Amino acid sequence: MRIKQGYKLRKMCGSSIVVSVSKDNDNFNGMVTLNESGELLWNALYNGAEESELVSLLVSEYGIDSESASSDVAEFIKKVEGAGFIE
Amino acid sequence: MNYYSIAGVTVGYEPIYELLRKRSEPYLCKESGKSDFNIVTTELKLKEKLPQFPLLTLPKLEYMFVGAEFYNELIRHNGFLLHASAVVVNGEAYAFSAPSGTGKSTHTSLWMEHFRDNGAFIINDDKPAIKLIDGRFYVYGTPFSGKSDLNVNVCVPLKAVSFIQRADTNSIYRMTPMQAVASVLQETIRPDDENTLSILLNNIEKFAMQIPAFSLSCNMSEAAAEQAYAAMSNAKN
Repeated sequence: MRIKQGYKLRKMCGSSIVVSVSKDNDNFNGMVTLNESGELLWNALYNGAEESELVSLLVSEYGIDSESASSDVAEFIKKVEGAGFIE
Repeated sequence: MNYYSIAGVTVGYEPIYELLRKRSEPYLCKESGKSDFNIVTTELKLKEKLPQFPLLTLPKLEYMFVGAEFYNELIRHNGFLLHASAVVVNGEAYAFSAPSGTGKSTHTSLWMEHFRDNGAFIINDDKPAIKLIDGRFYVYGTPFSGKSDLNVNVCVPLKAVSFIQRADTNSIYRMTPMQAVASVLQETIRPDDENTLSILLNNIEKFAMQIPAFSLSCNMSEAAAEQAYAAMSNAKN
């Protein structure tokens, strides 16, 4: 899985937001804010990562059990997919 | 080529139709000189574009096209369009922003009524320019004011901005800078390229940190203007 071309992560007013930098993406006027773990997952997806890798990432980074990590990752993927950010 | 001074930049263009010519007249430079940028339109170019905009006429298309080009270029001069009606009271500007049809102009006309003894006037009823100069934000009138031709060639310090929703009862609350960023992004236009976008986002961030922003739910009573003014005029950054 990978984030589509033309989206970038950027800090604004202390928060991380996703901006569309390409004319082809028509959802410029909407804005997606990411929290710390969202940012971590986004960066992994930006470089192309499988769902299982994202789960391990959350487990190792936050020391949570793999069950809650899996559900967090699933929720995150649902959101970014729903917003059209995934290739 | 005519030279116009709009929002502190000198822009060269030659109106083809009366609509743009007339609305641009108050901004015409007396002396000719160097422009910061030029906008070139031809009748042929407009005729080619017209089928994409079946509801427009050529004069309206020219007016819209030059406005869009202007606002795109303005970003590189530390300015941006805010889809808003901007009103001045006691020498300070208040901007009311919302999608078309929400009642921006209706709300500022309440201000005009309520604050007529305080020198109230509309700077631009639909698309004022917001500009950062020496670390402060100002509102400029521009010839590009949508359907209404309510605009004045002035520059006034911006005191506060409200994003409007229509409601039965009036209420107003202060937004966080992040909410202000999201709201401004919805009411401006996207630039052509990544560098320009980066300048725009930098300036929107400064705007959100510096200008008190509110979410205003309002009806059409004069009390709405009073309540909005009370909150906005007392806001401290």
